[in-house]
Amino acid sequence: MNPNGPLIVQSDRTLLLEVDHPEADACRIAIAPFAELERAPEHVHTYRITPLGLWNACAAGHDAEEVVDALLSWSRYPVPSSLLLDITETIGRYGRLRIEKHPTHGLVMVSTDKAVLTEVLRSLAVKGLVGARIDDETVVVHPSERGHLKQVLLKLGWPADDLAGFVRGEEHPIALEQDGWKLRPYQTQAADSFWHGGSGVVVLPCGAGKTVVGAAAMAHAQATTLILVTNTVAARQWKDELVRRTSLSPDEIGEYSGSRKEIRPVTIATYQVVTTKRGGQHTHLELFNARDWGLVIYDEVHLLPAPVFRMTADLQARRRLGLTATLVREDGREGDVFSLIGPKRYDAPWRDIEAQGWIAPADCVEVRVTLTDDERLAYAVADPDVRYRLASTAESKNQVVLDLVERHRGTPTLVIGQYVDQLHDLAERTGAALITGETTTRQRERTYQSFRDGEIDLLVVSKVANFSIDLPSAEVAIQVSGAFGSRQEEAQRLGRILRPKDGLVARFYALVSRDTVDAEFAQHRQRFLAEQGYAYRIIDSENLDELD
Amino acid sequence: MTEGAPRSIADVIRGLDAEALTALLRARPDLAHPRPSSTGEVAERATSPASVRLALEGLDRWQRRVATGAAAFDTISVRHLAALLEADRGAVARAVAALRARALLWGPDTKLRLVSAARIALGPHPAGLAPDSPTPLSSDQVATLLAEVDDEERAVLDRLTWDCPVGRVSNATRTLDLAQAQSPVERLLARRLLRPSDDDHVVLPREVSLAVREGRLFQQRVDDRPPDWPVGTSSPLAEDAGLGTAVHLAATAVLLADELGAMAPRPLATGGISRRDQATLAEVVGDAGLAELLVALLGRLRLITSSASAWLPTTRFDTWAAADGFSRWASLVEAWVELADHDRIRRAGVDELRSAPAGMVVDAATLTERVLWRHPHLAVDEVARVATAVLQDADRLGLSALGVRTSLWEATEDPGFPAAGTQFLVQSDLTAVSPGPLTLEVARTLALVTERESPGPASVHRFTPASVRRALDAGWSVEQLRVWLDEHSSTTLPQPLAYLLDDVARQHGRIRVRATSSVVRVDDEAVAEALVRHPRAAELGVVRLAPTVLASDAEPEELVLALRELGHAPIAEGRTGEPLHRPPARRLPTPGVAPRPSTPSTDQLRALVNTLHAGQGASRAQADLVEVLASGQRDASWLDLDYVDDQGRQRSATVRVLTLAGGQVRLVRRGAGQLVVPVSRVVRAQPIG
Repeated sequence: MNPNGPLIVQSDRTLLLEVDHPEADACRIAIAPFAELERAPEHVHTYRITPLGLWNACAAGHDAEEVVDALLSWSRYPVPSSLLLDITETIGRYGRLRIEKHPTHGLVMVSTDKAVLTEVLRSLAVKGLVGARIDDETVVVHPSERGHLKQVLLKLGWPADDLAGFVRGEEHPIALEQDGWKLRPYQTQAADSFWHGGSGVVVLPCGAGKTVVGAAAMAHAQATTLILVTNTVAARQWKDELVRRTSLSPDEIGEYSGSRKEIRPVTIATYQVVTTKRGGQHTHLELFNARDWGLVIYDEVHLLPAPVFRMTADLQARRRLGLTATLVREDGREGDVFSLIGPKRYDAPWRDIEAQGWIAPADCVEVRVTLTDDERLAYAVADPDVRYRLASTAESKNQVVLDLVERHRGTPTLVIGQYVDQLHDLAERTGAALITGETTTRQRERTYQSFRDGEIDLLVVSKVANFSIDLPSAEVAIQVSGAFGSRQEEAQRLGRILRPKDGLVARFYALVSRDTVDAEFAQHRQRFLAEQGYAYRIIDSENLDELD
Repeated sequence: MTEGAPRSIADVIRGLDAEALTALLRARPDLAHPRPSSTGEVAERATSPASVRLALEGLDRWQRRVATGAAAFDTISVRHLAALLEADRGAVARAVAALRARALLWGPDTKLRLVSAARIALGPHPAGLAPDSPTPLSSDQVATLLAEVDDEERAVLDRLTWDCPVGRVSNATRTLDLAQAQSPVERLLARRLLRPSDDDHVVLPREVSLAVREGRLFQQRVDDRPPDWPVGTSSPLAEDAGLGTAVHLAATAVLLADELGAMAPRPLATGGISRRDQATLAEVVGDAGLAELLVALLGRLRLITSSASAWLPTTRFDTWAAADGFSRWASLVEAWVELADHDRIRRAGVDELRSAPAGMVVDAATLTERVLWRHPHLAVDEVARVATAVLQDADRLGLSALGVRTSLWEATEDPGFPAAGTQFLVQSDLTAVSPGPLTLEVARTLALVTERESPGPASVHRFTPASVRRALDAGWSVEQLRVWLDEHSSTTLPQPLAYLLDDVARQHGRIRVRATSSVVRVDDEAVAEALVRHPRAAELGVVRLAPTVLASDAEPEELVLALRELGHAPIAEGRTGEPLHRPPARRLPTPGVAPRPSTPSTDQLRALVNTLHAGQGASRAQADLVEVLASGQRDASWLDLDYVDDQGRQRSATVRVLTLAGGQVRLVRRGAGQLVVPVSRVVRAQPIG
């Protein structure tokens, strides 16, 4: 206990960290390895202690003593014994079971604790995944069930430490070519932590250069690599980036997507194509065995679709790197990420990287639009299921968009929306390029390029722009409508404009129709952004002049 | 004492001095209930089988062992007993003193004698020894005979030696000589190392058994002190962890009671809380066992109770919750200790744990062993179960932590609970965080305006449209809220919160206007006229709607205030005409407390002993009693009366005698109605004053 400490341990296992406390930084460094940052508003940050978090810490080499010591040395109030015991107990569970290579039996599960081994072997879920028991402490594991077994063990509360190692894979020389650019320190750290850990997930905010971390990992592996990304545009960008940053030539990199089926030493595939089914069968499973991959990279792990988890279960002998901005999954399958891809190997809070100047800080402004009487009347009499659309696409809002666009003329600006009609209208009235789901990939890339090159400074985009595209020079984003304030979407949209620029502040406008269901959804967004630590302001559309 | 040595335990008891008699009554409280009338009566009770059995149950394992040893002999000396028990003479002497103090053992150290009721209670073969043989063998004979037995015979002897000297054999009384004897038992009978006790039983003669035992009386030794607590290094974190537990408990208890007040769960037919409601409470405090414990403790403290329709906090709860964390925690601990009053085993467990010095490593196994050493008659399984439960509770209360008994149990001053403050931090994600506990007033208001998110020594609250609306519903205006928040927030109020307050207020106000608020009804046209014509009427926007109905632009609150300033006493009404008061929190009356079973204080016992010694015995007192009652009736004066009721319980009352006839006395109790008691059941009557 430290009566003046910055940390408060709560009964519900959250940790409250007072940010303005002089020792807050030191405390944060001490607790970050085992506690997940849940909310980071301006004064008090909330961390949570979960079993997964503790096991992540374990995997990173921390032990119960360190965790307990961190709590005790920073906590302002005495910490209850039940929490200390529970931490020790939970951490003690990790690695009690190990998956190892056996000279004669192949893959085995080993435990020095007979009781634990007996307990898990008695579970119905484990039967069928393991073979004969060799002795009190060892049981044979079917190599094909390595991943599945780890999933089951995690659910049983005995996460296994996978020490069985990896196949080296087919060798392929890959080197980083740092001409005119350099790996940032945290990128080097992230790649190194991954490599020493074996397999696992690197958590970096959007715009912090996850692709480069991937490239650095490939340079470590020096082997053929399979990269799984969310969509075709992302695939092309990975390819461009790899060609630019590494010794790989375009010919060495294949694209495996809906349109092309190239398998090269480095192959980039989309989640969509690998999960495509024909006649109830996944038709592209051969991709995983097409080469002897030495490394598999998962981009945007938090979006990894369920079938890919199942396929990943069969890839446990290969090194796996997950890249993401957040470990939080909307479907709550964080445990699967942990057991199938691996524990968290590196995590840097957004604010820190931002403070180092790598990401532009964002200034979030919610603009309250007052609807006209006619609009309000239309809204009031509308059916509940079209109200959101009405509120989102009100003409009053469009007027404000035009106003904002005008104010930021000359600055790269994105207008983001959900309703294509409205976007068409806006594009027409501003004379801007429009990208929707119907735009061809070729057209899309061309438009992005001219936006990047500064030929155009305004782009109207629909939902398709949400995932994994790279718009390096956007400084202003105007959101007209969003899909019901999902956390994922907010992270993505904010990610769009969080790109390193010279001391500039990116601005994120969200337009909200006052006193409508739109405003209710805006509350989710506001909460999310404030929790992420971004300055959040509300302004009435009539008072836009007061903005600096 | 009378001349010479006492000849019976009754003599001993009659001869006890005041101090010793008080000690006896303390050690055996049943002797003082109902109130004995003479030392003779005390002696009589003390030797009754029921009382002796109760006294034996009060012995610890060592005292019982010494009593059993003494029971095996008519009389025995301390020295001999110590030798037979392979024990230190001092330890035996201590046990002997304890047995003497309980009037179970008497006579000089050289000739100790156990009271016969105790001898009977300890079974027909105390220490597994048969009674003296009618024609005992000499020790030489025994030695010779024993030397001749073979292994089979030896095995039979061994079986009969320690526990029960009697074995079952058919046709035991047949005459045999060694040559005819077939079985080992027959050979032993022929050798006279076994003796038939009847047709079906043989018995191992006492002198043989003693010889086989080789000077020991018991096979297993019994320690003369309870088993030690386990050896181990006690964790230096334990004290702090215990304190942490205590701090969280004090906060959690309030949280649970608050939740119960919000849920107002309907009690089961048996009066308990339904399993589903229990589960909800368990979720709130994060531990089912803890929730159950807290419900029991809060109930014991009369902070929550159930009426026919709901479980709710009581009127006492608010005062209690306003107290500092340490007082709250201390009262919970006290309630926990009292909870054990109704369960002998639990009582023993709690007392035993409490007796461990602070910093001592404690575990359930040792706790069980120690309780069993002190109370050997208790069931082992039951004690083990209770010991585990007691330790678990102690862990939840912070009385033990990380396997160590903490010093919190002795804490009489606040050992470092966080002090309550009045400030919190408001953030732009619409949370308010208080870095420590809040004073009750601030906490209650904050609970009204926000939803609680995270409990603990600190607390996190969230402003939502619903919560702000709740505050407005409860009579707060936005302006009042803003001022209050400004006053208690150590940060400037974030802009999103200002917007939230305004948004909600805008909606809130809108509904109020439609509900025709600001309508003023008066019962007198003249008053209405006066209001409309008052200089402030324009400012308040007062207009007349009907001869006795006015409307105002002002908010009802403002209008009511203004009307009050003008000397009126208006009542604000809601849409349907009900008065708009902030409803008081639902509370039930604090129930009466069930009396704790009490042991009489030393003073009370001393007073009793003095009476006994003064010879105010029953027979003599009976006449006096009648006299006191009669004079009480004559003078119509109040009397202090002790009597035994129909259930045999002793009662006391302040009474006046109405009639005294036919061996019955009709009384009126002060403030409690009439009563008829047979004079024979009146124990004591004394005029007041």
